[in-house]
Amino acid sequence: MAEIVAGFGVPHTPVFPSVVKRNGPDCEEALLFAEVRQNLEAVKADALILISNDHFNTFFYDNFPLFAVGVAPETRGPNDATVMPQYRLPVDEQLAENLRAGLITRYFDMAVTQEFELDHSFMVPWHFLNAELRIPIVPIFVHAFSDPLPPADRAWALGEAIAEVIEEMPGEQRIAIMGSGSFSLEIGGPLADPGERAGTPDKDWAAHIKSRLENCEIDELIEDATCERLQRAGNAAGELLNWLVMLGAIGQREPISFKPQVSHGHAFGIWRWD
Amino acid sequence: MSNYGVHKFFRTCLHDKTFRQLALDHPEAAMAHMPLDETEKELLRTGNAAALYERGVNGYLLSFFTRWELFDVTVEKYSASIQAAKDWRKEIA
Repeated sequence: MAEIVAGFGVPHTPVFPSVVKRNGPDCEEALLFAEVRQNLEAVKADALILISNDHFNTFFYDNFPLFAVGVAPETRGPNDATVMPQYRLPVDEQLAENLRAGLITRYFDMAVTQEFELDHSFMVPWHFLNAELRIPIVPIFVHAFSDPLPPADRAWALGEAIAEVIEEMPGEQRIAIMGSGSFSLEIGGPLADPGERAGTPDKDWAAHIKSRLENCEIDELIEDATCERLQRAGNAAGELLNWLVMLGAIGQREPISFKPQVSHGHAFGIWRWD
Repeated sequence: MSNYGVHKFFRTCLHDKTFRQLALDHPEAAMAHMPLDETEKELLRTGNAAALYERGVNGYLLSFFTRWELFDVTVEKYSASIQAAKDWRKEIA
Protein backbone atom coordinates (compact mmCIF):
# COMPACT_ATOMS: atom_id res chain seq x y z
CA MET A 1 0.00 0.00 0.00
CA ALA A 2 1.15 3.54 -0.68
CA GLU A 3 1.87 5.65 2.37
CA ILE A 4 2.40 9.21 3.52
CA VAL A 5 5.88 9.36 5.00
CA ALA A 6 6.28 12.97 6.13
CA GLY A 7 4.62 16.35 6.33
CA PHE A 8 6.13 19.80 5.94
CA GLY A 9 4.97 23.38 6.31
CA VAL A 10 6.84 26.30 4.78
CA PRO A 11 6.23 29.89 3.67
CA HIS A 12 6.37 31.02 0.05
CA THR A 13 7.48 34.63 0.47
CA PRO A 14 8.26 35.72 -3.09
CA VAL A 15 11.30 37.82 -2.21
CA PHE A 16 13.08 34.93 -0.49
CA PRO A 17 14.90 33.65 -3.61
CA SER A 18 16.32 37.14 -4.08
CA VAL A 19 17.11 37.49 -0.37
CA VAL A 20 19.06 34.23 -0.30
CA LYS A 21 20.82 35.01 -3.56
CA ARG A 22 21.92 38.32 -2.05
CA ASN A 23 22.76 37.16 1.48
CA GLY A 24 24.17 33.73 0.78
CA PRO A 25 23.69 30.19 2.07
CA ASP A 26 24.25 31.08 5.73
CA CYS A 27 21.40 33.57 6.00
CA GLU A 28 18.40 32.69 8.15
CA GLU A 29 16.03 31.89 5.31
CA ALA A 30 18.57 29.67 3.54
CA LEU A 31 19.23 27.68 6.70
CA LEU A 32 15.54 27.25 7.50
CA PHE A 33 14.80 25.94 4.03
CA ALA A 34 17.95 23.77 4.13
CA GLU A 35 16.71 21.94 7.23
CA VAL A 36 13.40 21.16 5.54
CA ARG A 37 15.17 20.09 2.39
CA GLN A 38 17.45 17.69 4.32
CA ASN A 39 14.41 16.05 5.87
CA LEU A 40 12.58 15.86 2.56
CA GLU A 41 15.59 14.13 1.04
CA ALA A 42 15.93 11.79 4.02
CA VAL A 43 12.42 10.36 3.74
CA LYS A 44 13.12 9.26 0.15
CA ALA A 45 9.72 10.26 -1.14
CA ASP A 46 8.61 9.15 -4.59
CA ALA A 47 6.16 12.03 -4.87
CA LEU A 48 5.41 15.31 -3.14
CA ILE A 49 1.88 16.63 -2.77
CA LEU A 50 2.22 20.40 -2.63
CA ILE A 51 -0.75 22.31 -1.23
CA SER A 52 -0.89 26.03 -1.72
CA ASN A 53 -3.03 28.88 -2.99
CA ASP A 54 -2.83 30.69 -6.25
CA HIS A 55 -2.64 34.51 -6.21
CA PHE A 56 -4.91 35.26 -9.21
CA ASN A 57 -2.33 33.93 -11.64
CA THR A 58 -3.24 30.35 -12.54
CA PHE A 59 -6.87 31.06 -11.72
CA PHE A 60 -8.91 34.25 -11.74
CA TYR A 61 -12.44 35.38 -11.02
CA ASP A 62 -13.56 34.20 -14.44
CA ASN A 63 -13.20 30.67 -13.06
CA PHE A 64 -11.93 30.22 -9.52
CA PRO A 65 -12.27 26.79 -7.91
CA LEU A 66 -12.42 26.24 -4.17
CA PHE A 67 -10.20 23.17 -4.51
CA ALA A 68 -8.37 22.00 -7.61
CA VAL A 69 -5.71 19.50 -8.60
CA GLY A 70 -3.26 19.77 -11.46
CA VAL A 71 -3.20 16.64 -13.61
CA ALA A 72 -0.52 16.74 -16.29
CA PRO A 73 2.89 15.21 -17.07
CA GLU A 74 4.65 18.43 -16.20
CA THR A 75 4.18 22.07 -15.40
CA ARG A 76 6.31 25.21 -15.18
CA GLY A 77 6.69 28.44 -13.29
CA PRO A 78 6.69 30.93 -11.84
CA ASN A 79 4.00 32.62 -13.91
CA ASP A 80 3.77 35.80 -11.85
CA ALA A 81 7.04 37.72 -12.46
CA THR A 82 8.59 36.53 -9.21
CA VAL A 83 12.33 37.18 -9.42
CA MET A 84 13.70 33.63 -9.44
CA PRO A 85 14.72 31.04 -12.04
CA GLN A 86 12.13 29.58 -14.38
CA TYR A 87 11.60 25.86 -13.88
CA ARG A 88 9.92 22.94 -15.59
CA LEU A 89 8.57 20.55 -12.95
CA PRO A 90 7.62 16.89 -13.27
CA VAL A 91 4.10 16.09 -12.10
CA ASP A 92 3.12 12.63 -10.88
CA GLU A 93 0.19 12.49 -13.25
CA GLN A 94 -1.10 9.09 -12.09
CA LEU A 95 -1.10 10.10 -8.43
CA ALA A 96 -2.76 13.38 -9.35
CA GLU A 97 -5.52 11.56 -11.23
CA ASN A 98 -5.94 9.04 -8.39
CA LEU A 99 -6.38 11.90 -5.96
CA ARG A 100 -8.82 13.73 -8.19
CA ALA A 101 -11.01 10.67 -8.68
CA GLY A 102 -10.73 9.46 -5.10
CA LEU A 103 -11.52 12.85 -3.60
CA ILE A 104 -14.58 13.29 -5.80
CA THR A 105 -15.95 9.97 -4.61
CA ARG A 106 -15.43 11.29 -1.08
CA TYR A 107 -17.65 14.29 -1.83
CA PHE A 108 -14.89 16.84 -2.47
CA ASP A 109 -15.76 18.69 -5.67
CA MET A 110 -12.23 18.88 -7.01
CA ALA A 111 -11.74 20.98 -10.10
CA VAL A 112 -9.10 19.78 -12.52
CA THR A 113 -6.63 21.68 -14.64
CA GLN A 114 -4.59 19.81 -17.24
CA GLU A 115 -2.74 22.78 -18.72
CA PHE A 116 -1.42 25.16 -16.12
CA GLU A 117 1.54 27.03 -14.70
CA LEU A 118 2.31 27.77 -11.06
CA ASP A 119 2.95 31.03 -9.25
CA HIS A 120 5.34 31.76 -6.40
CA SER A 121 3.17 29.95 -3.87
CA PHE A 122 4.32 26.65 -5.35
CA MET A 123 7.55 27.76 -6.98
CA VAL A 124 9.33 29.28 -3.98
CA PRO A 125 9.08 25.96 -2.07
CA TRP A 126 10.14 24.14 -5.24
CA HIS A 127 13.14 26.43 -5.68
CA PHE A 128 14.50 25.88 -2.18
CA LEU A 129 13.44 22.30 -1.51
CA ASN A 130 13.05 20.30 -4.66
CA ALA A 131 14.82 21.96 -7.58
CA GLU A 132 17.73 19.52 -7.23
CA LEU A 133 15.83 16.51 -5.88
CA ARG A 134 13.17 16.88 -8.59
CA ILE A 135 10.64 14.71 -6.76
CA PRO A 136 7.52 14.68 -8.95
CA ILE A 137 4.81 16.86 -7.45
CA VAL A 138 1.04 16.94 -7.33
CA PRO A 139 -0.21 20.53 -6.98
CA ILE A 140 -3.39 20.96 -5.00
CA PHE A 141 -4.87 24.45 -5.07
CA VAL A 142 -6.85 25.75 -2.09
CA HIS A 143 -8.91 28.93 -2.37
CA ALA A 144 -7.16 30.44 0.65
CA PHE A 145 -6.37 33.93 -0.59
CA SER A 146 -9.70 35.64 -1.15
CA ASP A 147 -13.02 35.56 0.60
CA PRO A 148 -15.04 33.55 1.20
CA LEU A 149 -12.55 31.03 2.52
CA PRO A 150 -13.39 27.36 2.94
CA PRO A 151 -13.93 26.50 6.62
CA ALA A 152 -10.95 25.18 8.57
CA ASP A 153 -12.63 21.85 9.30
CA ARG A 154 -13.27 21.44 5.58
CA ALA A 155 -9.55 21.92 4.89
CA TRP A 156 -8.69 19.38 7.58
CA ALA A 157 -11.24 16.94 6.14
CA LEU A 158 -9.71 17.32 2.69
CA GLY A 159 -6.39 16.25 4.18
CA GLU A 160 -8.01 13.24 5.82
CA ALA A 161 -9.57 12.28 2.49
CA ILE A 162 -6.20 12.59 0.75
CA ALA A 163 -4.78 10.14 3.29
CA GLU A 164 -7.65 7.71 2.68
CA VAL A 165 -7.11 7.79 -1.07
CA ILE A 166 -3.41 7.12 -0.65
CA GLU A 167 -3.99 4.26 1.79
CA GLU A 168 -6.18 2.55 -0.81
CA MET A 169 -3.61 2.87 -3.59
CA PRO A 170 -1.74 -0.31 -4.52
CA GLY A 171 2.04 -0.35 -4.62
CA GLU A 172 4.72 0.90 -2.31
CA GLN A 173 4.78 4.56 -3.24
CA ARG A 174 6.21 6.85 -0.55
CA ILE A 175 4.51 10.23 -0.55
CA ALA A 176 5.45 13.42 1.26
CA ILE A 177 2.97 16.25 1.69
CA MET A 178 3.62 19.93 2.12
CA GLY A 179 1.42 22.92 2.97
CA SER A 180 2.65 26.41 2.22
CA GLY A 181 1.69 29.85 3.43
CA SER A 182 1.62 32.49 6.15
CA PHE A 183 -0.27 32.70 9.43
CA SER A 184 -0.41 36.49 9.57
CA LEU A 185 0.18 38.64 6.53
CA GLU A 186 -1.59 41.59 4.94
CA ILE A 187 -0.70 42.56 1.39
CA GLY A 188 -2.12 45.77 0.03
CA GLY A 189 -4.92 46.14 2.57
CA PRO A 190 -5.50 48.57 5.45
CA LEU A 191 -3.70 46.31 7.95
CA ALA A 192 -0.39 46.66 6.10
CA ASP A 193 2.31 48.62 7.89
CA PRO A 194 2.04 52.39 7.34
CA GLY A 195 4.20 53.44 4.41
CA GLU A 196 4.56 49.83 3.22
CA ARG A 197 2.68 47.57 0.82
CA ALA A 198 2.56 44.68 3.29
CA GLY A 199 2.78 43.91 6.99
CA THR A 200 2.34 41.29 9.69
CA PRO A 201 -0.67 42.60 11.61
CA ASP A 202 -1.21 39.79 14.11
CA LYS A 203 1.97 38.28 15.48
CA ASP A 204 0.01 37.04 18.51
CA TRP A 205 -2.12 34.88 16.25
CA ALA A 206 1.00 33.45 14.61
CA ALA A 207 2.39 32.69 18.08
CA HIS A 208 -0.92 31.08 19.04
CA ILE A 209 -0.74 28.78 16.01
CA LYS A 210 2.81 27.83 16.95
CA SER A 211 1.65 26.86 20.43
CA ARG A 212 -1.29 24.86 19.10
CA LEU A 213 0.85 22.95 16.61
CA GLU A 214 3.69 22.25 19.00
CA ASN A 215 1.21 20.86 21.53
CA CYS A 216 -0.70 18.93 18.89
CA GLU A 217 -3.90 20.82 19.72
CA ILE A 218 -5.32 20.45 16.25
CA ASP A 219 -9.00 20.28 17.17
CA GLU A 220 -8.61 23.46 19.16
CA LEU A 221 -6.76 25.16 16.30
CA ILE A 222 -9.53 24.24 13.86
CA GLU A 223 -12.07 25.70 16.27
CA ASP A 224 -10.00 28.87 16.67
CA ALA A 225 -9.44 29.36 12.94
CA THR A 226 -12.81 30.81 11.98
CA CYS A 227 -13.00 32.78 8.76
CA GLU A 228 -13.33 35.99 10.78
CA ARG A 229 -10.29 35.15 12.90
CA LEU A 230 -8.20 34.46 9.82
CA GLN A 231 -9.31 37.70 8.18
CA ARG A 232 -8.26 39.65 11.27
CA ALA A 233 -4.75 38.22 10.90
CA GLY A 234 -4.43 39.63 7.40
CA ASN A 235 -5.72 39.05 3.90
CA ALA A 236 -3.18 36.25 3.37
CA ALA A 237 -3.78 34.56 6.75
CA GLY A 238 -6.16 32.09 5.12
CA GLU A 239 -3.02 30.34 3.96
CA LEU A 240 -3.14 28.48 7.28
CA LEU A 241 -5.73 26.35 5.47
CA ASN A 242 -2.96 24.95 3.25
CA TRP A 243 -1.20 23.78 6.41
CA LEU A 244 -4.44 22.30 7.76
CA VAL A 245 -4.89 20.17 4.64
CA MET A 246 -1.37 18.83 5.14
CA LEU A 247 -2.05 18.22 8.84
CA GLY A 248 -5.30 16.44 8.07
CA ALA A 249 -3.37 14.08 5.81
CA ILE A 250 -0.71 13.18 8.38
CA GLY A 251 -3.04 12.99 11.40
CA GLN A 252 -2.54 14.29 14.91
CA ARG A 253 1.22 14.35 15.34
CA GLU A 254 3.74 16.63 17.00
CA PRO A 255 6.33 18.28 14.77
CA ILE A 256 9.96 17.27 15.13
CA SER A 257 10.88 20.85 14.29
CA PHE A 258 8.87 24.07 14.26
CA LYS A 259 10.73 27.31 13.65
CA PRO A 260 8.80 30.56 13.33
CA GLN A 261 9.98 33.76 11.76
CA VAL A 262 8.01 36.02 14.05
CA SER A 263 8.49 39.22 12.08
CA HIS A 264 7.13 37.54 8.96
CA GLY A 265 4.18 35.80 10.66
CA HIS A 266 5.06 32.38 9.27
CA ALA A 267 7.04 29.26 10.16
CA PHE A 268 8.92 26.20 8.97
CA GLY A 269 7.58 22.89 10.30
CA ILE A 270 8.68 19.28 9.90
CA TRP A 271 6.64 16.20 10.79
CA ARG A 272 8.37 12.79 10.56
CA TRP A 273 7.60 9.51 12.26
CA ASP A 274 10.06 7.10 10.64
CA MET B 1 -21.06 45.72 -8.13
CA SER B 2 -18.77 42.76 -8.77
CA ASN B 3 -15.54 44.71 -9.08
CA TYR B 4 -14.65 42.23 -11.80
CA GLY B 5 -13.45 44.92 -14.15
CA VAL B 6 -11.16 46.49 -11.56
CA HIS B 7 -9.70 43.12 -10.65
CA LYS B 8 -9.24 42.29 -14.32
CA PHE B 9 -7.57 45.62 -14.99
CA PHE B 10 -4.87 45.04 -12.37
CA ARG B 11 -4.42 41.37 -13.14
CA THR B 12 -4.00 42.08 -16.84
CA CYS B 13 -1.32 44.65 -16.04
CA LEU B 14 0.73 41.83 -14.52
CA HIS B 15 0.15 39.23 -17.20
CA ASP B 16 0.08 41.34 -20.37
CA LYS B 17 3.08 43.64 -20.86
CA THR B 18 1.46 45.36 -23.83
CA PHE B 19 -1.61 46.20 -21.79
CA ARG B 20 0.57 47.34 -18.89
CA GLN B 21 2.43 49.75 -21.13
CA LEU B 22 -0.88 51.01 -22.48
CA ALA B 23 -2.06 51.56 -18.90
CA LEU B 24 1.08 53.58 -18.20
CA ASP B 25 1.10 55.59 -21.43
CA HIS B 26 -2.61 55.94 -22.18
CA PRO B 27 -4.59 54.96 -19.09
CA GLU B 28 -7.92 56.09 -20.54
CA ALA B 29 -7.43 53.80 -23.52
CA ALA B 30 -6.46 50.94 -21.25
CA MET B 31 -9.54 51.42 -19.09
CA ALA B 32 -11.70 51.46 -22.21
CA HIS B 33 -10.66 47.84 -22.81
CA MET B 34 -12.03 46.75 -19.45
CA PRO B 35 -15.60 46.28 -18.19
CA LEU B 36 -15.46 49.31 -15.88
CA ASP B 37 -18.28 51.65 -14.98
CA GLU B 38 -17.73 55.41 -14.78
CA THR B 39 -17.37 55.39 -10.99
CA GLU B 40 -14.70 52.72 -11.15
CA LYS B 41 -12.82 54.62 -13.86
CA GLU B 42 -12.86 57.79 -11.80
CA LEU B 43 -11.61 55.98 -8.69
CA LEU B 44 -8.79 54.42 -10.70
CA ARG B 45 -7.99 57.72 -12.39
CA THR B 46 -7.65 59.45 -9.04
CA GLY B 47 -5.82 56.58 -7.33
CA ASN B 48 -8.50 56.36 -4.67
CA ALA B 49 -7.44 53.06 -3.13
CA ALA B 50 -9.56 53.57 -0.02
CA ALA B 51 -12.80 53.97 -1.93
CA LEU B 52 -12.06 51.01 -4.18
CA TYR B 53 -11.26 48.88 -1.15
CA GLU B 54 -14.45 49.94 0.59
CA ARG B 55 -16.37 48.87 -2.53
CA GLY B 56 -14.89 45.39 -2.11
CA VAL B 57 -11.86 45.38 -4.38
CA ASN B 58 -9.28 42.84 -3.26
CA GLY B 59 -6.42 44.57 -1.42
CA TYR B 60 -3.72 42.44 -3.00
CA LEU B 61 -4.80 43.19 -6.55
CA LEU B 62 -5.48 46.81 -5.62
CA SER B 63 -1.87 47.23 -4.51
CA PHE B 64 -0.79 46.58 -8.10
CA PHE B 65 -1.26 50.35 -8.39
CA THR B 66 2.18 50.59 -6.83
CA ARG B 67 4.02 47.90 -8.78
CA TRP B 68 4.31 50.19 -11.78
CA GLU B 69 2.97 53.39 -10.22
CA LEU B 70 -0.15 53.20 -12.35
CA PHE B 71 -2.03 56.53 -12.35
CA ASP B 72 1.06 57.93 -10.57
CA VAL B 73 0.22 56.02 -7.40
CA THR B 74 3.41 55.56 -5.41
CA VAL B 75 3.71 53.30 -2.37
CA GLU B 76 3.53 56.37 -0.16
CA LYS B 77 0.39 57.69 -1.83
CA TYR B 78 -1.18 54.25 -1.83
CA SER B 79 -0.41 53.65 1.81
CA ALA B 80 -1.87 56.99 2.87
CA SER B 81 -5.07 56.17 1.04
CA ILE B 82 -5.49 52.53 2.05
CA GLN B 83 -4.70 53.24 5.70
CA ALA B 84 -7.69 55.56 5.76
CA ALA B 85 -10.07 52.94 4.40
CA LYS B 86 -12.90 51.76 6.61
CA ASP B 87 -12.37 48.12 7.58
CA TRP B 88 -14.23 46.15 10.25
CA ARG B 89 -10.97 44.42 11.18
CA LYS B 90 -9.43 47.70 12.35
CA GLU B 91 -12.34 48.33 14.66
CA ILE B 92 -11.97 44.93 16.32
CA ALA B 93 -8.20 45.18 16.56
